[in-house]
Amino acid sequence: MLEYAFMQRALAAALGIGVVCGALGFFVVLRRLAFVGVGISHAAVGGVALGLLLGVPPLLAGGVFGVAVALGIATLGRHNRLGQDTVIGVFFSGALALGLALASAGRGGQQDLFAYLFGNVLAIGPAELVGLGVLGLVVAAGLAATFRAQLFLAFDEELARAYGHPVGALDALLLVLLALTVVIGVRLVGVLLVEALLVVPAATAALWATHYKARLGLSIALGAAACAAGLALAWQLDLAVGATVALVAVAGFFASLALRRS
Amino acid sequence: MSTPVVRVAGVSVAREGHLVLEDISFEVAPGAFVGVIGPNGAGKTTLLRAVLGLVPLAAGGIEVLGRSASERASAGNGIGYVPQRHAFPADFPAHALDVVRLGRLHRREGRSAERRAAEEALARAGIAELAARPVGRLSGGEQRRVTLAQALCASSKLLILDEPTVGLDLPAEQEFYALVRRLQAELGLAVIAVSHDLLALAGAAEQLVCINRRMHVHGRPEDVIHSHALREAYSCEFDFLAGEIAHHEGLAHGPAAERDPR
Repeated sequence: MLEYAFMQRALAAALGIGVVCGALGFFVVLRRLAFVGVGISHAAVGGVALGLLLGVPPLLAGGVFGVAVALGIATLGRHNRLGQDTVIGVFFSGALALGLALASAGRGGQQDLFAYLFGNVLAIGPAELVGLGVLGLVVAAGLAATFRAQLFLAFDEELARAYGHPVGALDALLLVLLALTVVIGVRLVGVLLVEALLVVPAATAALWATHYKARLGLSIALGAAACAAGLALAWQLDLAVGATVALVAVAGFFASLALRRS
Repeated sequence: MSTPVVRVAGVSVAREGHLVLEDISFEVAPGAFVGVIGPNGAGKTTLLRAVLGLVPLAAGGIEVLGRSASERASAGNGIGYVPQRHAFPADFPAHALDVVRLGRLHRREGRSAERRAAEEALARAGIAELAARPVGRLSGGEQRRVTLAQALCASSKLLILDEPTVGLDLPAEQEFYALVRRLQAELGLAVIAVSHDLLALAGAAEQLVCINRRMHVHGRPEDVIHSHALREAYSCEFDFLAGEIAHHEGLAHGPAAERDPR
């Protein structure tokens, strides 16, 4: 399958997406942010629909929307009595409803929106591949620069604050990185399944590894492996790529669970 | 007379329009062990958080190691802090050494210096052999020593302990306080410990501060225990406790205190 240039690009994108999602997924699982990931990914639909309507690159619009929602969740979730899960519920239903309303008002934009809901990695062009690569490097750099401080927050937020770490800013940064990762992952598996890449490889790694270095490495490796294997399997069996990638990752999780229990 | 490590002067703290602390004043001399006691909801943890610079003051001022507490919090405060905690999550993916090293992360002094300081702190806390063990799988007493080692790694001048022995049985509690006393003597550490357990602190501290929103009494444990102000703060009679306290003091300074905590 690699004799085709579009498949070479798709594989490169899938591997990169798997690595970035696996790395960020480590914190999504450790800090119990799975619902935040769902919220941000569904909120990005609003931005994508707006982008399609206004003729702005949809992933750029989705990214801006996702980051704005991430910052909104970080700010309101911390400073009001409702709790973060409630705030996420408000943001994600509002943004998703906006996306669907805009799509229904658009002229023939629904088909384009479906490509973002379910992913379309085979359509990635050379320029978009470079863009995704740059975005991936930004996420990796942000995570690398603050990794141990983020680990400290996962350990004890109050203690991290007492030792002078900027807890609010670190929290907001992690959510922004999560929003950017969602934008990257959407191209492969779509808005509806990007959560699979953010949660499942890291959850599988948590079943095997007890130290954070091993868990991070395994999460990255499993993310990349699920993306590459899912792409190959989808090509061979003529299945939807996003769904196949998610199913491969989930199958790996349940196989690990069975092995660890036996 | 030497400059106090902590100077709390006329401090009031308000929450939602109500004063939770009112006109609290006391000082902690270098190398002194001050116990803060009071009934549940008396504002003990709020007082510690004020010393750490984590809550704004409605009135008064706090100086820690010669600088205002709020300045110190934003700069990484040089205080060793053991927050109130029941247990680490069993699956927290870090070893004891990693957790202790986090206490020094804000100093940004390089990984090898950080590692050396953490190993030294683990040895001082008598748990050098636990360095490579997953922290979530240690016993409650061992976990408490890990957080103590983390605080020692952060600072060797001032230790702040918030209910440090909650969840420990009596022998473990006495061993913990004996260890703190030994470190206090070896390092010249000043210690502020908060506990609702009057008996435990009366046996370990050199001075007690009793608060219940306001400061009721401040002095040597034997004077505080027999004071009318203590009965007033707890709104109950303490005569029946006097014998218990004397017995507990005997235990704390007797065989348990002499036992080598390592």
